Amino acid sequence: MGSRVIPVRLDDDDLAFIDLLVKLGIYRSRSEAIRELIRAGMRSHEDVIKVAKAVEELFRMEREEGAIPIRLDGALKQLLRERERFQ
Amino acid sequence: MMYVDTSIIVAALDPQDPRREEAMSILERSEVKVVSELVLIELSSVLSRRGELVRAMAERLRVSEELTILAMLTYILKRFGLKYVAMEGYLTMPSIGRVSKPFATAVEISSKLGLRALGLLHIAYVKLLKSMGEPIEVFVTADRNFIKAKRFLEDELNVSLRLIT
Repeated sequence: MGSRVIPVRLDDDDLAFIDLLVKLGIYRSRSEAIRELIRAGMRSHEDVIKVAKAVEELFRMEREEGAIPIRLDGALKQLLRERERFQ
Repeated sequence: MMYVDTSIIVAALDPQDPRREEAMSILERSEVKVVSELVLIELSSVLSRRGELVRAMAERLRVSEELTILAMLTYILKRFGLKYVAMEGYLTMPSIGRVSKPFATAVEISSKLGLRALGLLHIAYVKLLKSMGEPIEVFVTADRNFIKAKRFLEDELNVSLRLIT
């Protein structure tokens, strides 16, 4: 896997935080800290991307099948019955 | 603008229910339709208990069942153009302390309505959304219990009740 150098502008507080992580020995350098923090940020968004793709797929199913792909047979009666039970 | 109760969305997705067509025509209007976090919770609950549907859909979508429910929820909101408005903050109740706004409001209006907890919460959300500037004019539902809230909605919130039967 290749790598490239890119210019990134950081504000003083963020840079101070990164330097602290390096000073504490969590990362060996600013570059390593920034790389790892970017990867962690990307991992935290993986699910958002998966959901967005799944939503697109649901719309594609509707277009292909000509109907909403979520069928909840008998669900309304069930919901209203449950509301009756819930004090 | 209308506040859409969960029952309308569920009716539109329930081919066995005679109210489906009317629910669908309401949801397909271009008018702004707003939902609360309570609608999201009730819908998630309905979807999550359809085990077979969720499993089959998870396989088709190639994501976990947890993400499948989120995807279905998002699809439903987008499909029907439903606007979700987040609610933040707390109210202080005498001798109780801090209570989240919808729950505190539900307690406050409970004596006037005689509704069960979920019904009270839906009306509380309408009241709060209006106070936040959302111009809600109609509360639309398939749940007859809300007839008890008709006068309150009309007189105190200037919102009309539309019940599909």
